[in-house]
Amino acid sequence: MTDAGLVAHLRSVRELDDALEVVVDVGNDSDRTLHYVAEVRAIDYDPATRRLRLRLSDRGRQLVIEAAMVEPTFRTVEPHSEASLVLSLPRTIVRLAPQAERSPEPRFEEHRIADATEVEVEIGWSRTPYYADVRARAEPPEAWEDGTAHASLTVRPE
Amino acid sequence: MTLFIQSDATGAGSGNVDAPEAFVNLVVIANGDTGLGFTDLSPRIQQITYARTLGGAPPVRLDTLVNTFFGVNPQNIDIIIVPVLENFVLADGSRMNRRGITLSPAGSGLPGASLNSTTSCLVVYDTTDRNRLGQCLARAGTGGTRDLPISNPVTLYHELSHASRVVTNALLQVTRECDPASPEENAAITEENDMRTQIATALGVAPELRDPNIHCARKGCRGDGCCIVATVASGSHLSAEVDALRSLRDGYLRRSEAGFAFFGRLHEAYYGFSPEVVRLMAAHAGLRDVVLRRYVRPLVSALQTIEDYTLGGMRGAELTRQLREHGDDSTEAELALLDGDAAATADLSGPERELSATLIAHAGRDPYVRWALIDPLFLHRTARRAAAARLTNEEIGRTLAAAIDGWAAQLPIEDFWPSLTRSEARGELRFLADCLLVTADARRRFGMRLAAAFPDTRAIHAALADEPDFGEEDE
Repeated sequence: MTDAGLVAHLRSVRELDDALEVVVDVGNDSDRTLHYVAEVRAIDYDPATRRLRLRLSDRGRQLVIEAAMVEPTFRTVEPHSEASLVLSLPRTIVRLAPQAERSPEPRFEEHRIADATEVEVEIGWSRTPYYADVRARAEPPEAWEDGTAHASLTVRPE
Repeated sequence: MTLFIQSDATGAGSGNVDAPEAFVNLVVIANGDTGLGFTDLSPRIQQITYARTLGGAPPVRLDTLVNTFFGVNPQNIDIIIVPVLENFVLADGSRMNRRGITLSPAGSGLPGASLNSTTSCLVVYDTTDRNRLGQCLARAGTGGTRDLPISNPVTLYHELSHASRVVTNALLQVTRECDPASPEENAAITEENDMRTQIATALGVAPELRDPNIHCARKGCRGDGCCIVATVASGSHLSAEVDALRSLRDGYLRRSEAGFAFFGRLHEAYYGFSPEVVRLMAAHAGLRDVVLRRYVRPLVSALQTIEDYTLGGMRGAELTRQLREHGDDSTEAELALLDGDAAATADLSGPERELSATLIAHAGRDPYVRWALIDPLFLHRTARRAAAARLTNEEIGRTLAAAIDGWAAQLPIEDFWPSLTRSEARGELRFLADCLLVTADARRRFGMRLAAAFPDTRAIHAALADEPDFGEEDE
């Protein structure tokens, strides 16, 4: 009987015509079904180091006012088995640029994450399915996670 | 004139915002009012103009936003609508993917300010997913069924509701709470429903409104997850059996600390063995019907009867009739099996024997599974034996009530209790008294167990003394 958590292995990263495709293998060596977040909830990219971090978790997400708090997509991996997760991402991301002197108008910065040479993936997982916390003092969805599986891959520039 | 649309993004070239879509959404908010227009303030932002000619809540709100100087910054660029595409990410890395958010001005200290590099209030929403068909919100009047889509104009109006309170410094409390929604989200959803009503009226259809008490949503309009064995056995996650179990779980019990902690432990145990039950059902088609008829339906029936007694206030003959109405097709053989009677497996088929071995191995050993999923089944035996003894319906009802009280008092005690203050512990005891421990005898028996479990925790003992019937004298 084993009680290990989710294990992740980053199999491939490749640029397609309209997307950046990242394939992750997830493994479960335990005796019970494991549940994990199956979509990229956050993208961190440092253009200076060309390091791309994909977070399949809501850890680190700040509190904002938003139309709806959309829960992540979840999947399972059976005991003593593996599954593949294909993540399709935009090849470029756009974000608000920092401003040394604040002005009322936004400035954007655009980055080609398909140029990343180091890719990391973090996957939140749990031993039980996710059910929304309906208590008055509800905890955020990430409190459901029992752990985080990590994987990384160095991508050779073509 | 203080409402603007971002039409381009300096430094990133064109094509990263969809200003025409934002203007179309504003036209819908204005209910087609021809008084709405815009001027190019700069190559990057358009200024909205509005000489309103129509009534209704959304046009009036838009009129206020467009024609009031809120003084958010010296340039009077108070609110900028940023209609982004799906590749936009916030400064914390989170993706916009189908979201609509309001970022308070940088330095304001309000929610989202640290993600905003401007001195304006930014309303950012993803315009790529037309009609947001993949995003499902809680529909009003359904008890939380999440199957209500949200369109771009409704998303924008929801965010403008927030923005109006940000720029007037009237923001209500914002939390991460989903159900019930925080006061700020409740207010915005209530106003969002004005927009839904306006659109429905224009289309000549009945409005589909959102539940203001539930802020969270899911992708894909399926039901909330629940109870995989019942789902597979009944053939659908929307079946009456699954719906009943989900309603019992989320409608009341998981809202308290005691219920939430209990279900955390139950899920830990249940999802340790239920996939094996599902695999057995997949391998042996006949087992689905066995599980549904002999376990799932009798369990649902028993739990509904318990709810009728504890929350519905049913007593005596009425309770007896209600149990029969819910259905009682469990058999003594299954109960004997679950009671660990090895002889009861003699007549079972191979797959049934495998199933019962799995259930006995897990259900019999785990106190949470035993209390929540197995012991309620014995309510049927109680009723049958009382009927066999020729008791009246009134007497059978009293016997059932005593059995439920006995079962309720054995609620497994969780280790969260010592973390509570006296006041919080009192709140939990009151919750249990309202929904589970409905008689003085049940409260006294549970109180004694709780006191014995934590003999040195003063807050618990003080709370027990505070609450009537829980069995401790005041200090």
